[in-house]
Amino acid sequence: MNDCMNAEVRDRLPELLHERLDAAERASVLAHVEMCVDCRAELELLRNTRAMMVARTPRVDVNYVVQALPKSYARVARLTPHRRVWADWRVAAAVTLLVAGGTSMAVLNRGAASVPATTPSAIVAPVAAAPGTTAPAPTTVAQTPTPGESAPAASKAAPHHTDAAGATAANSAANSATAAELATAESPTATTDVGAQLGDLNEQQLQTLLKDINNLKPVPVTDPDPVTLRVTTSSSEGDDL
Amino acid sequence: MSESVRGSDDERDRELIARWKGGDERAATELVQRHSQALARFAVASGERNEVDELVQDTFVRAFNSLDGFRGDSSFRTWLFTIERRLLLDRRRADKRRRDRSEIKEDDAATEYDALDSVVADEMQERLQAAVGRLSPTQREVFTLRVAEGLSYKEIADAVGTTEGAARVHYHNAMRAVKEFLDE
Repeated sequence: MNDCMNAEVRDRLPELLHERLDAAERASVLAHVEMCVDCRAELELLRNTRAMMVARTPRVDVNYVVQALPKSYARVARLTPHRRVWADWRVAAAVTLLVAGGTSMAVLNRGAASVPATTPSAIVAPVAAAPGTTAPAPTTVAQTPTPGESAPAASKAAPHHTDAAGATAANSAANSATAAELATAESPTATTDVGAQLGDLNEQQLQTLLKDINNLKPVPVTDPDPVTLRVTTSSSEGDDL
Repeated sequence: MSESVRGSDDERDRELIARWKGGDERAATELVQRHSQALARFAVASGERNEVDELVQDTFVRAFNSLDGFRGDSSFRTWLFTIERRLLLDRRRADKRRRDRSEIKEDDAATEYDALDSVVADEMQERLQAAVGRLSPTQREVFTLRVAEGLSYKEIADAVGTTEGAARVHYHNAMRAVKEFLDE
């Protein structure tokens, strides 16, 4: 079997076999093949070789192959339940607020009806504790005009926790009760007296107190004042530091 | 080569890949149907005999797992051949002692292919099989991809990891060797 001298056409024979020539090329190559014995023989050889390779290859089980393929990203995403993290924390926060608010209302209402004094103080104390601890300034409660007798006692019992509450309650007579409440957080022994004072408040005072509690805002956390250290060094004392 | 014919094949592959990425599992099945037999032919021609399905499956699994890395510089089928060839080389390195695949020696080529022959009894095809079996591994790869799959030299070079010119030389040397064997 000889090789045709037209290498260009010979190079095109596999493409002719696989029908991968455009119309013009195909016509040109076919025209050559029709008059070239060597190219016809080679094309026949190619056809037989291809047939042999196809016949000797076992049939692939497509299902066997496909069942092992990974799932596409989109399908995996569709099958994975959507996690609504965004909504979850908001729902939790709303429920927490409702429970806290409802409990406060219930406790205060019970306090108005001579409920044991420890309950309102336990509720109010955490509210006021935060501002009190972040701003350890001298108390102002003792200086505010207070018609009740509890304010001075409160300032004595818990001077560190009353300034914030006192500042917000300066215009209200009920604020003395607030101060007393705050005082009881530090002084368990005084809770009975304070509870009794809460019970003595009338409806208007209780409403005012509740409003003030709702208006309480946490004092922002402040950094301590910067401390400047002045170090004086001299040639003889330089190693002391 | 007709770019339009090849281009339509490539376009269909890209379309199927996009559909699969979008969650259409049937697109994966069609891709396997389109290319699995070509991969099997290449595997058999490269000497794989007993685990053709497994090799084809491994090739597709690896391909689908790294479809994001398929840039489309070559056709999808050429890319599959590249993956399959690497798997074949890995298997050979990992299992050197297993010699039941048809790595044909000069003097027993016909005998090896006689063992394979359970389908075709045609004498011409047996002789052709023996002639191809005598080729060097690289010649056989190039010859198979060119004759059985109709790949261009450029595509063969991509799949086999050589140059276009070297692929052309391998093909013509292989063709000459096959003719000489048949003329004996």
